[in-house]
Amino acid sequence: MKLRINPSLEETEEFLNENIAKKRFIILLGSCKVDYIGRAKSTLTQGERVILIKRDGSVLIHKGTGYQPVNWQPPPCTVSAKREGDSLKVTALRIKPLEKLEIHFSKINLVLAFHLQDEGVFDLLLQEEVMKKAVLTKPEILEQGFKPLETEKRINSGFIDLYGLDREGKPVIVEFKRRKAEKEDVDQLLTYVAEMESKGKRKIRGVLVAPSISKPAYALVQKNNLEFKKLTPKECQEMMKHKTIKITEFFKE
Amino acid sequence: MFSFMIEDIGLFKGILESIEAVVEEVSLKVNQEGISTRAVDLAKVALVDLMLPRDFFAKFECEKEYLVTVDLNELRTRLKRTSSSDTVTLRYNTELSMVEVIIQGVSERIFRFRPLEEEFYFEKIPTAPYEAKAKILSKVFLNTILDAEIVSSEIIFTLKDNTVIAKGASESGEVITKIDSEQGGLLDIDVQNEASSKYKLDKLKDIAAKTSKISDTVDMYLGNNVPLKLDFTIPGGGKLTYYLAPFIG
Repeated sequence: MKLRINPSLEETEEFLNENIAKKRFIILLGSCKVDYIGRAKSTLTQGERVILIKRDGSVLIHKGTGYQPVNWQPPPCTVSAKREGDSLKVTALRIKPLEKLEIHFSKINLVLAFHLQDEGVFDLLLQEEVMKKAVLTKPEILEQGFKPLETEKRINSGFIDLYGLDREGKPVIVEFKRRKAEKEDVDQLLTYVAEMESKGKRKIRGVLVAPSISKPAYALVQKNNLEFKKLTPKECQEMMKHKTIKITEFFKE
Repeated sequence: MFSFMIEDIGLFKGILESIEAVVEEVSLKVNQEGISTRAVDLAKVALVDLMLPRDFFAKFECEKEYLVTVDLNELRTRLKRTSSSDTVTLRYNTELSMVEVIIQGVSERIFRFRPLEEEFYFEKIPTAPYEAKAKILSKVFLNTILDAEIVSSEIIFTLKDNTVIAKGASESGEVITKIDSEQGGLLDIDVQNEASSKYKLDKLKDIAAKTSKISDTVDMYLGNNVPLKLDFTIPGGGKLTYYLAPFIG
């Protein structure tokens, strides 16, 4: 584990680039402003924040309150640090789609880098991930001819779980819920569909995938020409279950 | 310090890309014999084994054995900056602890990057009773897989009666491919006993697509419910081998 307390911006620049290259988990505490440039632009004005840079290039920016990051960049992306005048710029660049997150630090209080050993999984996330993975692996689970194109697709209003095309080439947004879908889940899907339709000027199919759905939520689905597909994490696990033997089982002792 | 000059940069890039069908990062073992790597994918269903002897390279120097871990995409990104007229040398700078890609052409450029810390070189390889072996054209192998992918996510290979049979089947239909020496796709076959096994197509497709660019033929070793072994001979004396775990389901 490597720790620097109140390092200079020059020292932090060198520290970050070295440890990013070594794919260490990095935690930064400092005063910064954040610019996002992608399909839209946004700026987060100066403030003290905690930044996490993960081994796979994920970058998350946290404020002092709230459980969700105020800004983020999912992988794959390239992260780098560079001095610019009186500040240190940390850039997280994603190519497809082209998106850039720039964090301008005026001061660094602390920077920490270490190898995070973690084989455990968070069961709740795992369940939604299992559902998504099942459809990625066997798209026919959703419907015949569905072609997945992108997961965690970033748009202004959030991240679309799964984006793809149906057999007729129409865009489809898929949102997965591991528990009974409620009105707010339909609202979320509606927001994504509306944003994508306004940008692309074409109709988008919105599909909510969940083990069940409440009556008010289903009424909202029907009213807004969305779709609901019943699917449970357990069914997905069964569909994914196979007896693929590990190659390591054939290593001779 | 070790250093080697790459004779055919296009081929070398193709080899790295072929390895990426299984893993994104590899530990390269460099010693007096040449360069080797052996890695298993995250899902532990596939193993890739590469050997490039020192004679594969235009120049090769190595003072002792090294194990250097690199991100293959990172290395390939730098190698993409070469042209066919450039001379390309890969070197490990022990003073800086950095991998160097030295490109000499109308100018000299040196790319440096740090190797990764983790080392994952598998000393063991799978052992299995192989009942049959066939040598087929890589393009035929790839097309067989692409055909199966249209109807299924798995493929069953069977070697019998001097024929390689590949079958993909699902609720939407099936495709059966027969490869024998009459049409020219099968170059050699040796069947001790009939053998048949099923494999997932996702990784196999990636392997076949990438290796078809670096090797004209593939030696396929098959048993009953054992790993599929695929040997690709690399022009210049190298060998690239894959093992893919069988699928029972």
